[in-house]
Amino acid sequence: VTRVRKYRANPQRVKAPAPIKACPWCGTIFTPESFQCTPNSITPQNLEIRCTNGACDFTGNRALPILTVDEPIYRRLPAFLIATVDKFASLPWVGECGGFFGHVDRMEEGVGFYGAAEPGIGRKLFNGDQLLPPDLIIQDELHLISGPLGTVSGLYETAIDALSTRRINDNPIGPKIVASTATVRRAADQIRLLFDRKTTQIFPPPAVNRTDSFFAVTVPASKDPARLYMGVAAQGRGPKLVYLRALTALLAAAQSEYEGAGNVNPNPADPYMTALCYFNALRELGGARRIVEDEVRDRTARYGTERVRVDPPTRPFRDRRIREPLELTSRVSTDKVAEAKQALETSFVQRDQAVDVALATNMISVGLDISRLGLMLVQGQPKTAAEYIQTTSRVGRDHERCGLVVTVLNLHKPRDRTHYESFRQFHRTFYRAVEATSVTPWAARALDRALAAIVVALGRHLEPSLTPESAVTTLSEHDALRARIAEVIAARADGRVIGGTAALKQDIASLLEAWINTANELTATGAPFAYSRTGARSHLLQNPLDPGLANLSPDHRRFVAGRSMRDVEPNILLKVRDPWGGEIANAGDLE
Amino acid sequence: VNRNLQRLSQLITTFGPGSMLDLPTRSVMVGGLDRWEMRQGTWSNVSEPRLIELLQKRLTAPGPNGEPPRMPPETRLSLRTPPMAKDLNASREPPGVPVSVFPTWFVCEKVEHVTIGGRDRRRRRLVRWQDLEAGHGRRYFYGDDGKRTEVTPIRFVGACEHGHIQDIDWRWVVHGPKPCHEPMWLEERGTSADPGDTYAVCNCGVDPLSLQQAFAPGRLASA
Repeated sequence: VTRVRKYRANPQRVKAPAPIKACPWCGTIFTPESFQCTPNSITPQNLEIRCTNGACDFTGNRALPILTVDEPIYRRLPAFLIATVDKFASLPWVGECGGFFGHVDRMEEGVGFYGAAEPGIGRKLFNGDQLLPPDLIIQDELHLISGPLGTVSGLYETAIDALSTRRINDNPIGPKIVASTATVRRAADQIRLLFDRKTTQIFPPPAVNRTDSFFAVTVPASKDPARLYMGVAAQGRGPKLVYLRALTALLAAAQSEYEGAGNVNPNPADPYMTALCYFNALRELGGARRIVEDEVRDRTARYGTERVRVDPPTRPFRDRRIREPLELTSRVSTDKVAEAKQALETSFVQRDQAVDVALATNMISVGLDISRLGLMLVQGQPKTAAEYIQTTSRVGRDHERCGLVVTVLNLHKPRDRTHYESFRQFHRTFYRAVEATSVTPWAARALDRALAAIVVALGRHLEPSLTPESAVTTLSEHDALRARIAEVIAARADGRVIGGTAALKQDIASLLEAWINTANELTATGAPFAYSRTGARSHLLQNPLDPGLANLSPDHRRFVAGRSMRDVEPNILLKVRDPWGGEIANAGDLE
Repeated sequence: VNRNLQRLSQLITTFGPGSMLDLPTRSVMVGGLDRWEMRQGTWSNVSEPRLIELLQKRLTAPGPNGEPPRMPPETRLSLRTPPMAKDLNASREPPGVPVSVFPTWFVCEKVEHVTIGGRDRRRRRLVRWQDLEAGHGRRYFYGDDGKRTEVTPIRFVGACEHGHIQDIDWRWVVHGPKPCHEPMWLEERGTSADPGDTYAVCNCGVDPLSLQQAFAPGRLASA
């Protein structure tokens, strides 16, 4: 509500309450009036989005069928759900999210469904039926679900897979999982650990002919060039200087080509008018921004006039006026990034809205699909080959407008130097250099972090009567369930745990016992007890960074569950001391 | 409150003891384990039996060339987390990891253009921590004209093949043992920011030292 109000008051500065810019039905851009809290902003329950085009089908009384707020999503259980893996973390915390996995047997016309979390409301579904769990899970950008993030989400997948599995004629049928990625190595291993699927099938399948799989045809570069890579490095020169020179020359040359093509539409040089610059670190990007604002702008304004070729006597460059560079980083708001993406799509026919220079970090390496872009400057070799491929694939996406990638390498860095020296060979075969990712959900530290969360998630959602907040105290009545939780997790781990299956089962059993003990202990004098704080003041699940954690009983302390897949590491305070080891007094920057 | 914080895992690799770390306003070196404020109740044990076993084996074994073991064989190891500040705004000073200002030589941000021997030179004053103004947490230098200028830590430090790191005593490197009290400067010629184009210069007229020369063995410190 505050977000809607703020956005309405100041639509330019505040980001929109939903990450959607235009009506998906008629394409009209949303205005602040499109977002409305219903039934009203005093008792808000939902955020409705309406089109502002009076002739559109989704205006007036009929809002767009898009839900963006958690509560109505739990209530309406849409057929198509888009979420980040971070949302898995709410499985143990929020009872309503069990609704996605079935256990929904009641509904009310015009309101929505009621799952196991809210017993006794609504009418029974016809025939006493239940909703079905999801049958298709699509994981985009699989290569990102690796490392620490993949490890923890792999554990949560245990719960999700178990909850979405149906039994048909006593055969367990799990959801089909489709994962997409362009850069992956040893995908079968990653998928086995992440999703516990024994077989991985590639789509489109490799067919008789390597370049023609029926679904996709590889066109040779001679016929349809995609991207040209160029490495620039200079001995004895700082990388910033090389960047400055390269960018200036590219911008001025693009201008010359653009003018040389005359007044045609589309102008063949248009893709190269916008230089998309990629940086490995915000620190470098910050420095480069100063360079673009100052030196590049100054030099391109007179480069064409000053840089004249003597033999043959031509002028390969033209003067150019550079406007403010655009930034696509975590430093700017999501809304600004969306606007920046919009601006990048503007061709130079509309000169005032087009972008000369865009500075970006790895934020662009996935999901930026603008066919117009043709020119990219990469500052320094990215840390992984996968990242390099993903990033540089942002240009030259249109087969009629091939891409030019200029990589500025620093010869004084050994890694950059290696890449420069074997530039041709590396680029011809760079898919071969894609790094294998690692996912280790059954490592001891990963279990420390997330085992309690998935045990609670499984317990809470496998048994409908345990789902409501206050039902946390009734675990002791479900002996079969406790055995089943241990069975589900142990089957998935398949002995990959230190100490083997027996140790893991014992660990889970002791966790369940700790759950029962804690519940008994804290309700002994009649106090209310729940899963999370929304249910009662004293609750089973604890935030990892909660300062009160240390005061809990050892049993209770084990029930730490994150609210996201990341950011569960405490910070350490650094104390700056002078060279003699004393404190630095009166320092405004350190206090 | 403007606290410098570091992620727990980053204090193990990347920015462990002895590594240089750029904080937003200071360049520092992370203090050794003996200086960490391991107050009771601010750390917890890390249970990692296989790593402990490996470390125990390595540290109690004699070195490859017959060096004595680094720890007596009966030593029992345990792993601890760094001291974690639970509440940064508590009335009691929260525990932390001390980091020392390093390097202790600084370059003034103010650029001076001078003409020496008919050539224009861009140079910036080289100052030590002790020369900085004591107020304001030693972040400014008052030049001879009485004007205040900000300073940045010098971007060169000395390191040896064994992995040791030290501040470069620029006065000693330029002059040797000869005493001198004239102002010193960092002079940059050309546009490349290359070691060969960067000089440490002293007003006393001693030969300027290019950083290229500073790479010569034994140049940064006497053996």
